This record gives sequence, C-alpha cells and structure tokens, in this order.
Amino acid sequence: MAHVLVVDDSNTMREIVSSFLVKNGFEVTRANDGRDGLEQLRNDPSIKLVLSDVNMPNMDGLTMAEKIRGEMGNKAVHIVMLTTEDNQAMRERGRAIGVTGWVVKPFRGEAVLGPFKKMCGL
Amino acid sequence: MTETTKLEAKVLLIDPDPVERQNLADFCVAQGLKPLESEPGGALSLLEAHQDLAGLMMSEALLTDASAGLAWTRSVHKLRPELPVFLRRTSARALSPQEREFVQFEWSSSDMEQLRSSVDRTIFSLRYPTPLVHGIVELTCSALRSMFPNAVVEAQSPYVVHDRIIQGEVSTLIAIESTWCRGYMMLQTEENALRQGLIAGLSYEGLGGELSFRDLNNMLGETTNLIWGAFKNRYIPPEAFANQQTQVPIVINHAHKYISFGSTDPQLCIRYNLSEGKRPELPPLVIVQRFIFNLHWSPDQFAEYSAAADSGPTGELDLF
Repeated sequence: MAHVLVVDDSNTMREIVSSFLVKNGFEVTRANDGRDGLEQLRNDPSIKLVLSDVNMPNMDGLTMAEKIRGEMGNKAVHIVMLTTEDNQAMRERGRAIGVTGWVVKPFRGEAVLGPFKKMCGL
Repeated sequence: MTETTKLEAKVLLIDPDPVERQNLADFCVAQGLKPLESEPGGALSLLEAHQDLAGLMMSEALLTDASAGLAWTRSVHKLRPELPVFLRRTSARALSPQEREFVQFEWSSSDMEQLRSSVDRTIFSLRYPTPLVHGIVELTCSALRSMFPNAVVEAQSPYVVHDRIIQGEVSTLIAIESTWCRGYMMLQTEENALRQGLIAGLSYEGLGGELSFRDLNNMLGETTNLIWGAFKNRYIPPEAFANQQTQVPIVINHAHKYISFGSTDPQLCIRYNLSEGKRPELPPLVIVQRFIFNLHWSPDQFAEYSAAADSGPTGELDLF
C-alpha cells in the first residue's frame, strides 16, 4: 500500500489531510513537527511520500527536508510542502534542498490526488 | 499610532426634496464622503458603474414614490446587498418587515448627529480601502469554505467598531505586519455554536462527535492560520518580514470579555454566517473577524503594493 507521512503541527490539518488520503487508499503515518517527522521516517522505510507543513515548532519543514536529503541520505522519498507560504525565496530554498513539489494551502485533495498516486507508484 | 491617510468614500444620494438633498450633500462632503446624486431611474446604472460605492442614502419618500417604490428599492438591494442603506425618515410610521430587510439605519433631518454616528460606524472605506476589504472578505470566505466545506458561507456588510468586546468564548489573535500596516487579526465565536456546527457536519467527515475545547480551539486556530497565510501572500511584501519593531501590551480581561490594544482606532469588523444548506432555518454559526492596525497604518502604501501583487493559485501542486 502507498505509504504517506503527514507532518503538521495542527491536529486539525493533520486529520483533514490524513482522512482524505486514507479514504483514497493510502496508508498514513502522522507526525506533529519536523523532528517527529524525521523519527517516523527513520523508523519506517516503506514511506514513499512526505507531505509536510513548513512553519512548525521544534523543527520546520524545510529543515526536516534538508536533513532527509543530507544526514539521512534519503534521495528516494518524495517530499511535498503543504503550507500557507507562497514566498518565492522559500520555494527556491525548497527546490535547492531537493523538495519534490509545493502546495499552497488550503488543501484541495482532488487537485493533488493524481500526482500523489504517481509519486507512490499507484 | 501612525497618522491615518484621509480616504474618500462614495455614497449614492437619492432624495427628491432639493433642499434636503443639498443639505445631505453638504453633510457628506463635511464627513469626507463623495456624494453621487441621482434620480431613481439612473441609480441602477450608477450602482453597476461604481463598484467602490460605500453606501446608499435615500429618502423614505422613495418607498411610496411612483417612479421608485418598494420594488425598486428591493432591486437596488439585490444588486448590491453589501451596501448599507441610510433612510431619511419623512414620517413617524413604523417600517414594514419588508422595508426593514434592506434599511440598516433610519434618521431624520432634525437629528444629523444620529446620521453622523451611523456613518462613522458603517462607512468602513473612510478608513479601510475598499479593495483591501473586498480582498479580505474574498480570502476569508475561501479559507472558511476550505475548513467548513459543507457550510453555506456568507459575509455580512463590513463595518467599523470602536468597542473592545470579545464575542463568544473562543477567539484567536494573530499579528499582521507589512510595510503599510502593523496590527492584529482576531477571529471570535461562541464555543457552543462552533461545537454544534461541527457536530452537524459543517466541516470534514470525522470532525465531530466527542469534541474537547482543544479541538474547537484548533479548528478556529487553523482557520486563522489559513486566512493569515492568504493575507500574507497577497498583501505583505517579503521585505516586511525583516522588521523588528516596537510592540504595545494587549490587555485581556476574560471575565468581562474585554480586549484592548492600547488604542482607540476603529477596528474593521466582518461577520461571517456559516449555515447548513439543507436546514437554513437553523441559527447560523457566526464567526466575527476583526482587524486593528494600531501600530502602523498607511493605506496609500497598501494601494501601491496591492497593484503589484500577483498571488499564485492555491491547492495545486507545483512540481519542481
């Protein structure tokens, strides 16, 4: 089953995104900040896609992405930022880190379902 | 507080009495309003041509006038429901419920203070640029529809308030800083109404049932975050984030539902009704939004930046 890690400090947003993904056949693991996200990804190599907020306490989403590509050396997992940020400099930083894509909230599941399935090999 | 730029707001003025019309036009000019005088026959095209109108001032005589009447007034209200209507009373009769539907304020020419007070409260564009307010309503409705996809979301006419009252038990507060403004946005609502709305299924499947106060806080918090993000992406240039400037203390007294930002500046207030499409007779969940730019306010600079702003689409994946 396609496995997605949803990282967001907002419980409400985690549940909205997760319930949409579960309803559409994905397996979902949840994390509440970047640090938690890194831990979950280390524990479960079956995760194909990390869907992460940017602004979070403890560790932000872009720092987490940097560590996934750098310290963990994981170049395979897709990382998509799901954020209210539409700042070009921030997008450029994401691109340089190796983030796969960028979605500006609000989350509209139907608009991203196809690409997410493709990333997960469905 | 920064000096406020004097804004001018247009109002449509329709009064068949030439003396009263002139008095009202003089009053408008003194209040910083730009009166557009019209006959009933030309009003509809003026309403369409001037999307930046801030209000309609009309005489009660028009309600019974052969060339206007209640049907005409209804069509005006239908065309621009957001416009507050100031009705100059010419009789002592009570207005009918049909007339009350579109009349926000009544006044008589013997009491101009009454009208002045209503204008100060209602004509938001004397302080807040109309494109900004329309933009705020648009992005807030979008955020509300995203968080409450099963609700019918409607914004009431924006207005300004000078009170310091917190509406309801659940409220959020977020700082907004740009090169042209510094202040806060608040969302406020009643805990029980929010809970009932979620139980009724206004939000997402699974968000309902056993809801703790933390769940309700989170719901309003995430809605605030979405509005803030959209506001930031649309109206705040990146260079504004480098500013580290002074703050003033915010005083909150929960027992009295009181919040003060240390300023008496008028706050922009917009009420959003979220109702069930299938049961419109039930009272809606009301979310109140307030903006107070108490630390810096330069609407001229807003106009310059918003003209250059070009926000990208939301919800779509931008693949790198």
